[in-house]
Amino acid sequence: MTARRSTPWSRMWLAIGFAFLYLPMLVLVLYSFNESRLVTVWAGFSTRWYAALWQDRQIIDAALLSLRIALLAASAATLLGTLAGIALARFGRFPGRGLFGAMITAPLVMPEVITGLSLLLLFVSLAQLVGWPEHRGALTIWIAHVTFCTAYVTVIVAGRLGELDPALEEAAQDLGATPLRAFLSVTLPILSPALLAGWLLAFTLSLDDLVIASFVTGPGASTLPIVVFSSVRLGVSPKINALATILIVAVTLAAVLALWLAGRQAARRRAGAMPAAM
Amino acid sequence: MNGARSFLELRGVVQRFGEVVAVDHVDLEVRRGEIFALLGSSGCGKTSLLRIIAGLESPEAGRVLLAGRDISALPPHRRPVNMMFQSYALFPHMTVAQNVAFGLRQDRLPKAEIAERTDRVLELVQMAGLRDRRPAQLSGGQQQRVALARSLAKEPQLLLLDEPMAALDRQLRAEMQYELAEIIRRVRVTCIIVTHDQEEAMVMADRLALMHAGRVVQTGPPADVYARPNSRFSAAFLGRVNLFEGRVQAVAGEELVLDLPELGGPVRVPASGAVSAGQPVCLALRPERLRLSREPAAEADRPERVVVEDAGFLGSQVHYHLRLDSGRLVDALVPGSSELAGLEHGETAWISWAPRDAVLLAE
Repeated sequence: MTARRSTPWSRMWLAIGFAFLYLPMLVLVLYSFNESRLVTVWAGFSTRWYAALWQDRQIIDAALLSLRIALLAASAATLLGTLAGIALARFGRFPGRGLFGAMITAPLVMPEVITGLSLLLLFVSLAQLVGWPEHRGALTIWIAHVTFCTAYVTVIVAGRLGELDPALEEAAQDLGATPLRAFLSVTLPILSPALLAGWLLAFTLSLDDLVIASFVTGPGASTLPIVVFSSVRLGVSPKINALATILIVAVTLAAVLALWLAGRQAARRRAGAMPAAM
Repeated sequence: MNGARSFLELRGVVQRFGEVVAVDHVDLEVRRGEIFALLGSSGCGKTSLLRIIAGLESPEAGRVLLAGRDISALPPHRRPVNMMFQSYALFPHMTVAQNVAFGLRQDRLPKAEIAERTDRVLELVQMAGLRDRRPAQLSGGQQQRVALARSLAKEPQLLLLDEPMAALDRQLRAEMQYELAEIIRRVRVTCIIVTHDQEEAMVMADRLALMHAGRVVQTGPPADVYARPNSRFSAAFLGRVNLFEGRVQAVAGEELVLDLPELGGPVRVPASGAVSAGQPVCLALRPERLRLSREPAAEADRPERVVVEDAGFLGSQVHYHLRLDSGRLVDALVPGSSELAGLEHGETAWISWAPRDAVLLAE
């Protein structure tokens, strides 16, 4: 491999690329500290919109609802995704494995409007047929989020399990651990960074989701993205800029944490694999 | 073999994977306290057999008896058998000491006893100083010691080693063969080693079973199997050998007269086993058993003239390729210190052999 030298020309293109990606967000963050009520006119530094945000009951409620749904959805998706990942990676070539794998990961590539619409139709017909769910709201959003988040967790867990030495669990059993204890004391701890990464990903996906949530929600249950989206239609308030800034910081921290966990695990794996490869 | 001395016994064990027969009606007896090697090339069923003994595979048919008790139905965690895996399978999230203590913790032994036994077995493999390291921080040789310590910690009745040297480099492998065997003998545990490396099996094992295509071809002490192979496969698998195909010309009292076209003229060997005239046979001659000389030996020894094709200097030995008058190439090994070490390409020499060094193979 020949390492290409970076030239002023290539550095300029890199800068343009990054500017294209991040300049809009930077503008948004800057204007969240704007004194003026008008979003496009700079009138000096102020944190008044953050204070105003704190007073806004609707936004605070929506944020709390979003966090609650994201926490519960990420946890349920991690549980289901782990089980599905184990089934895919460890149960060998059971009949229908290919179909199972394809169907469990289909939500990854399915357009969100279709997922949202199909879930809405499902909930409506269920309500008509069996009377449940009675109302659409937080519960239906949670169910919808669990379905598509499970797909992401499954992919992460099955991938990690696939590269895990099957002899590890066998060794634990050989040393006297029952299959369940072998899983709990050996596989699960080794898997835990992948579970945490999956949970974090599911959490941010759920927190972000506007499309599916708008389909399956009902009166009284507005998640943060829904509130933001509907308020922006009436004109952008600087409060929304402040809110967006807080979200950007939170999501960035979560993403950095997830990346760091995954990277640390990969580095450990490389270090562990080296002596054996000699 | 009498039953009282056999400690592990396999009876009629069969294992199939789909269409492939991995283990084909294997009967095997391992004695108490011995190191027993299952030797064969990859895919011969030796690892499947080991996993059946550990309980990690359940055979389609057959029984596994340990100290007279049928353990065929026991799951791996209930068998008094511990295994060292080819990949070592050390738990990456635990320290060396935690790895070693894992098996003892499963038995819910008192804390003090776990600590004491962990220390003792780490001393045994000289890893006490690195007890708080993680497996990823150890070299291949150190990982192997920890894996051995972990499988010895529960003082199993039977220790299984799956290709113990496979993950080590060549130099370390040669050292560890002796050290591993020494440790195993010191704790007096009955041990089965699976290996594809004949040298490893011969260095470490008291007895070995040679496996091919799911079957045990020959069982015995390494020196016996080497000196008295019972088949072409055994002869060719353990060390180098020159095989001459032919048939029995006549049975003359204590001797057999063989017709081996590549050797020219009849060859007489001591009669062995039930062979009849006309039967196809094969004569096996070890390269180091061939006597090489510049002048023909006495007529009684039936010297064969050869031309040196090429010579390979191996340090302690010289490896010759010699061409017989029939055109057949034979391998011969002479000590590097011998005055015959300096033969060059194209030189003429003579080979002969003692009748007792030739092994007659009927199959």
